[in-house]
Amino acid sequence: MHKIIAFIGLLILAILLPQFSSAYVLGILVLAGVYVILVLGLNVCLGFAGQISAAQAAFWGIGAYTSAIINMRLGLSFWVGFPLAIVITGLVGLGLAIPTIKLKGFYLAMATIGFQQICFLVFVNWRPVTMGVDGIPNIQRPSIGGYLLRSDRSFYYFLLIWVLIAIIFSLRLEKSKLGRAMKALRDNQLAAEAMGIDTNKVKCIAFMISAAMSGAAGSLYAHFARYISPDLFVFSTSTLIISMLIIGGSGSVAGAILGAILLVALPESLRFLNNYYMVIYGLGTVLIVIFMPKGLAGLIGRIIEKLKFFLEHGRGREKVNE
Amino acid sequence: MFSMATQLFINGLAIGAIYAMVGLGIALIFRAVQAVNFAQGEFVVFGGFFAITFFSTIGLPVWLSIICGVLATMIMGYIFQRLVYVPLQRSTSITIVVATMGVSIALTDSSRIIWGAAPRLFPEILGSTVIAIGDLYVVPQNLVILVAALILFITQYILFERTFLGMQMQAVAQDKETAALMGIKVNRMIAITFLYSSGLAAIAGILVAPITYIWSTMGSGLVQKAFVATIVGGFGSVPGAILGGLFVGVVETLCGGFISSTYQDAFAFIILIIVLIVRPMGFFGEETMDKA
Repeated sequence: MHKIIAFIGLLILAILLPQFSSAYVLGILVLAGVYVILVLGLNVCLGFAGQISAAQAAFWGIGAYTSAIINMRLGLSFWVGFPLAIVITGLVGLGLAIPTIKLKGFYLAMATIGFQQICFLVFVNWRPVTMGVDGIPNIQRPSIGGYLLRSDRSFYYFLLIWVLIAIIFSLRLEKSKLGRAMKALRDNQLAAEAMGIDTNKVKCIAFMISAAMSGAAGSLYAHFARYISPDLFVFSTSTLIISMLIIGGSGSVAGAILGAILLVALPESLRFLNNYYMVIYGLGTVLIVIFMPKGLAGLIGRIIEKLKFFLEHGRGREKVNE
Repeated sequence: MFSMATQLFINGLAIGAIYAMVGLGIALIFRAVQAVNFAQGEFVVFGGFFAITFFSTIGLPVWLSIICGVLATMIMGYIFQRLVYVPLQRSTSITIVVATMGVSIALTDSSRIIWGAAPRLFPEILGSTVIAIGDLYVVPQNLVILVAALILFITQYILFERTFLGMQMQAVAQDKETAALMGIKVNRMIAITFLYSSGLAAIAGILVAPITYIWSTMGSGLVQKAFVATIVGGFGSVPGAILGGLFVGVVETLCGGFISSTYQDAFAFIILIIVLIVRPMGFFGEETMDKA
């Protein structure tokens, strides 16, 4: 029950926030929304299925470039580019999953880092298609039934709908047969296989869903920023996405959301440190990992447990007194 | 054609020796604590910058700046181990990886704040006159790197295979509990591993500085190549890290010279993906059954 109340509270906050924020803050809010989708995507792969992917920024880029190129070169709208970006990124994710199916842990991490680096070099050097470091300008904003989402505020609400869809999808997936199969794979692959789960298939699907969600985030980002260039789709962005999930709490949908919002907001709120903010930010990551082993979601869960215990304990004592 | 290939081969060996040194540090740390260290590249950067500072700011002679630079980096490595690895001893490997990534971010920006964003140069030990051997032109620093690497690897072999200390370190790498029962001070051995690995990284930084310069963000690119090298050679294997490093350096430089220089950085990762698909345990890795 308290979960639903917290969720509705956050939703109301998310709806009201843009009314009080400046154009700059609004841009950060949109970016936070995009990162929430990205981290939810990684959560499917790493959080649920236990398969690390350090190529999420590459998938994000592939989604963004697909949508942007369809819009720029073919003149087709967001509503064509968006589903195509999801499908193509999903297929690329499957294409990465199949050859790396036997790898795990650090080896899988390195294979995905390799893929990430190759993608980045292609974004930079395949000039006829991606326009290299210059990037692709003048991407159109989406329109709904003739209403163009010209203002950032209207785009924010449009994005919020997609974030909600991603959250509900993640929650439904977690409870589904597939989601449980993923968790079984994460916790013990041998036991999962003994239970009759086709672990190879589950791994591929996890990678595919994870990539497709990043692709969706890419398309949304491209049509919001209206300009994309390779410097966003780099390895350090992939590590940022991993940090967001680990800090939030891997495997928890709420944790993924919190982690994404925190790590988008944190650098902004540390700007007063000027030069030092990346140093503080890096050290902060280390401290959170050391002192909150289950992430923010784990910490909040622990606080709720303590509160519950306290309340019940209190009630129990009252009964004794009676 | 032939002389160009030989030329590229020598350059490749030199850069490969650098990858090998960084990769060796990663492999040794992995053997000791079963966790990878993404901050290893930053120790290369700090090693280079420390030596440059001792040389040009403080004005020590070259050899003394090198020694001081290496020692300073080793102290950093020890502090890093105490503050990050010790508290995370019982955590999952992905948690440790994220922590070392955090350290890497913090150190990268610290070095930018301390030494600025511009690349810095360390003097070449044998001067910069190109040596001509027949129609081959060799940059002296490449020879310095290769000789230094050779001496280092031989010393390390003797240290690890022929001394009591080396045997204790190997015992810790194989089985910590049994090693502790045999009276080996496990934590001290792990600390020594970190000291040695960060020293190796510092030497790599000082050796590569005259060729590629040192700048604050070079660490992450270097550490990724070193990871590729260790995986290609066989992860956690000492000869694997050395030969993997040389192999990656040579293939990358040859491909960059003959196929495409814009995609030079991609070749290492293409090698990596091929190796991971065809022979995931690398050249020297043992095929282990997965206990799941």
